[in-house]
Amino acid sequence: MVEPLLEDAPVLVDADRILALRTFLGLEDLAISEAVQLLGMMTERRVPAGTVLAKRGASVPAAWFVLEGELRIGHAGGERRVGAHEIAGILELLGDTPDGLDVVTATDVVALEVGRDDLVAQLAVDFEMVRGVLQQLSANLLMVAPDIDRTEPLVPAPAPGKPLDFAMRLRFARGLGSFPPSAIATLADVAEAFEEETAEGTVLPAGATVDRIWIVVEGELHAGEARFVPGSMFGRLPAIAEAALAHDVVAAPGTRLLGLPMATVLDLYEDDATGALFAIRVLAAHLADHQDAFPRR
Amino acid sequence: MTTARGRRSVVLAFATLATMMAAHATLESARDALLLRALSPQALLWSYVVIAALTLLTARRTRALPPLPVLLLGGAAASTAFWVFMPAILPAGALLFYVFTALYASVVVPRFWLQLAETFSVGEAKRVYPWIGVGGLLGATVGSGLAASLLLELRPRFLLLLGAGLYAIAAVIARITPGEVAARPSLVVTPLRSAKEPRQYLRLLVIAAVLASATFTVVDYLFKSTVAATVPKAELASSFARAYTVMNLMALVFQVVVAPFILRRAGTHVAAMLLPVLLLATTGGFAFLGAPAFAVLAKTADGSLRNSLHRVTSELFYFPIPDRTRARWKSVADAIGQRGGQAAGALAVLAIVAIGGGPRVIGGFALVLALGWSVFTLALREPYVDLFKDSLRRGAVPTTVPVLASDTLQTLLEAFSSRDDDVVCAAIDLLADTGNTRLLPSVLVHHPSPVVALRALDALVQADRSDLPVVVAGLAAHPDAAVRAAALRARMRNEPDVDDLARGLDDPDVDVRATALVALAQQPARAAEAVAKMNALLREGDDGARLALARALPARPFPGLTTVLTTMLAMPALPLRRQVLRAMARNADPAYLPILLPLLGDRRILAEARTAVVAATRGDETIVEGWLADTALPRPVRRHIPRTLSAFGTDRAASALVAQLAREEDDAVAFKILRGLGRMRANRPSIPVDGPLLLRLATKEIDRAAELLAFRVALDGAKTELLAILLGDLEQRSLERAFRLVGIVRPQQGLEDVWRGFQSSSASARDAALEVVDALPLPVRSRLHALLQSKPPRERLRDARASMLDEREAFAAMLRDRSLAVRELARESTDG
Repeated sequence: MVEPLLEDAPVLVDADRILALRTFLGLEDLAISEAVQLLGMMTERRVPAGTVLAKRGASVPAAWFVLEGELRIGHAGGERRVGAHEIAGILELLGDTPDGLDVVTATDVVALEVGRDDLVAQLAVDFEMVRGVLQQLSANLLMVAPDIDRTEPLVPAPAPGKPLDFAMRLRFARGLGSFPPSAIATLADVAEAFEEETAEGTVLPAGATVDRIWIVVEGELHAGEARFVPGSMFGRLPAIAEAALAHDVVAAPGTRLLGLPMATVLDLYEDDATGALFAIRVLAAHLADHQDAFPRR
Repeated sequence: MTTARGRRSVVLAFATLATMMAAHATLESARDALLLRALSPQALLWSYVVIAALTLLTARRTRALPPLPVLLLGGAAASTAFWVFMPAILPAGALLFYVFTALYASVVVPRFWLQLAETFSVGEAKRVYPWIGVGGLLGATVGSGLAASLLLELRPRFLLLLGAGLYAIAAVIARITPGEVAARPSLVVTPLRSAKEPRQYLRLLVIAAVLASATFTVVDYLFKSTVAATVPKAELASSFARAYTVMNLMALVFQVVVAPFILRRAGTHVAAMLLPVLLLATTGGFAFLGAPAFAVLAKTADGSLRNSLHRVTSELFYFPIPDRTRARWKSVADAIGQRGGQAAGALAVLAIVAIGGGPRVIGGFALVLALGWSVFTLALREPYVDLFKDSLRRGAVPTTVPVLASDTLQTLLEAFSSRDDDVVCAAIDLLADTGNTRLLPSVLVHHPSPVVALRALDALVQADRSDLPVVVAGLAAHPDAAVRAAALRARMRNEPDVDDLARGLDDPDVDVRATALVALAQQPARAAEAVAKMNALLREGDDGARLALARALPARPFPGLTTVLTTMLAMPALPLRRQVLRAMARNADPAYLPILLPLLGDRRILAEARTAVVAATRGDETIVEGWLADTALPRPVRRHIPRTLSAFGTDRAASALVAQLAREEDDAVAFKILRGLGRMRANRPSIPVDGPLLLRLATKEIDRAAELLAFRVALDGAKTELLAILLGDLEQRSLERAFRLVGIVRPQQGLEDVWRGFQSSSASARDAALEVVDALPLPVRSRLHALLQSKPPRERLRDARASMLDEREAFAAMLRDRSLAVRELARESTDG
């Protein structure tokens, strides 16, 4: 039986907690200073069986790092259990998914709780943390849903041979889905940063890492079975995840591309956390739909 | 406060307070008349002492008081009872009634404001409190005016029944007032770093309140004793009623006309200083000149401002205190402050009278009290702003690892026996990160898990433990190749046995062979052969072999090393390039700088490239200064030079960054300079910067924000929606830059947190941030304040006193604007 507390207690940033945090899947290599930071955001909760921590129909207010006991998680896709050394609600929290989750303690539970406001506030000031989260989310998404980045055309492609004016570049920047569509100043920076190039043949060999996002303006890109037609985008997830390509990327003759260096994207994320938080939200929301496919500890 | 619910709250709060204060003013007129008819003015002073004692006794119980409507009904019932029984209990009944009205007001009024504080943020409070306060003054004016009129025809006792009726009406209005408007978080979070109870601030608040209340008491005595000495007893009631009516009218005018202006323009503190300074002047006049007019003037100032501006500012002083603390301490602080001060003032006057002190001595005492009050009000300024800053300091979580205590060490020792490798590795890292590697049991390098063994060996190498040679000697035949390679690298640190190294070349694992090659390359006799084999490995090996080679690269150079490094840096694998850059940082060779410069443009390896650059300069930042000034460098590279220069952390680097900032034309580079300088000053505030220059640049950014706002206000119609959003974004950027510039000049102000407060969706966070801005010593503070308000653009522009443009003028200016995006979208809008 969990010993009840009159109030939720602050987490003591002590060795026990640091050691415990490193036993969670994905946090094995967390630096000690990062673990201390994370613990500084957390509240320790001791909750008896049957307690409702969150209900569907609203955004989840927190994520729970379960130390002891088991949580029952209900979502649109069904129900699952989250036990010790597992995290509940983190993707919904990062993804700000409006449907939320049912989170109920199946047994007495001891958990470290991190609230949305604290996590977002920390992400807003800690770019290395942002980058780590983006990388982890992208890598996981590539693993469980490798086709997710093969989108339909973002925007109607311009007529062949037509020069790309600023307005067209801005429309492409909005279509990327990497920045909030209302962040016009940032999107204008993206529009300015686009590099127009023509390509033919292998533009990236299998095994290479992608350092830019490409939008096909004219012609076509192939990567294995996938075809990228004018108006579509290639490379967003592999570029963030720094993942090696499984196939050669080949451009059809006369292919026109708009390249956006990943360095520019990360610079913009660093200079304005709003963009980075938007990207995290989008990726986490996608990933939340696939989390039943995740490996478990 | 734009919601219908919010507006309803304000209207009903206004009505509740108006009716409450009308009731109180009616009863106040009655109680003064009853007391001064039945007893001497000294009875007033004794009544203060009794009131204070009772208030202090009941203060801690106020949290258990019933809701406001019930409390008001109780007041109505008690007043009715006094009306019924007063003839039977005079003259003691007059004193009892006096004590009751004061005691009751000390409970019900704070209760009303406390409930209100839970409904509004500080910014909303600044806007709506003066108007709700008008309700109080209006009620008091009507109440005292009504009392004065009725007393011409009726006895004072009748007023008790009138007061009871008004309290009953107030109860009904309070009952239908909505509760909290602001959304409250549903879960308690992070008590770890939440601010401690601001006891020092509360102490200052209480002392200021004690001094204020004592000043009021002495001024009240001076006034009433002056009136009692000059006005016939039969006319006392109507005289007081008339005086109160006049004062309440003045207070009303002040509250409607002056208070909102002062609060908006001058801020909470200037507003709070007005009354103590006026009382300082009038009581001083009385003390030095003895003219009764000064007692009347003092009371007039008191009567005009106490329940208007003073009440509002007193309530605003509680806003930076967290809700839970405020709820816990406000009643107590109010009770001690108001009633304690009243009692102290009264006892002091009694003592002065007892020892034969005349009115001027009492006036002198009031002067001293007003002076003390002014001093403590001034002393509140800094902690008031600091508390708002604290409330904005989210995300300021601990970044340093705690010092290990003995029970922690016990935990770690136990962790070394864990069957979970992650736990053992975490324990090793914790010891290493806290500088306690000397306590790491070296036997862990023989742990059955290679992961743990490697981690332990790395920690021992990093700490350069003296027992390292002995520890690694036994690992040459370790079954895990990674451990064998790590052991060989460790052996290379000292004087390695060449034959031992050569044997490593025959190891079945490439990691070990690569390590042996690097070690041999440092032996003059074998260097050429080793470098040739290395180049072959780079050409023919896979990424794993190359990475093994990069991991083995030493801190000591050998012939051909630069070629090996350059070859590896040209390869695409990121882990390999990172490892090579780490090796370059260890070698710290200035010859690497031309190779490293273009790598600053590759964000994926930026951190390692930056570290290698700083190391390769060997502390000579002039090379990087030259890069910063070179506008011909590619933009992605130039963008990362400011932070590279700031990594030196020197005075010279800061000076070069400031100088470049003044002439930099690339906004992205300028922003990086701001970030770099901000970090430098945060780490070491003593680094000198050209403050006046930075403040001038901040002023330019604020003016730019106003210009962009003027463009936006001039736009009209759906076809310019995108342009309007862009202008809004750019305005925010300019304001952020202004904050960063001021933050560099004043790093201790925590302006990054304040800026984040403005970005918050929480009205209370934005208002808290605005309070901090109001306290900034800036030449353009009022314009900055105006631009940062949560008001429609047109109102912000007007408050910022910036020029309004018509659409034609705005487009003409935008088509010439320095921002490409503004020019392009403006052109598109005009073409469209």
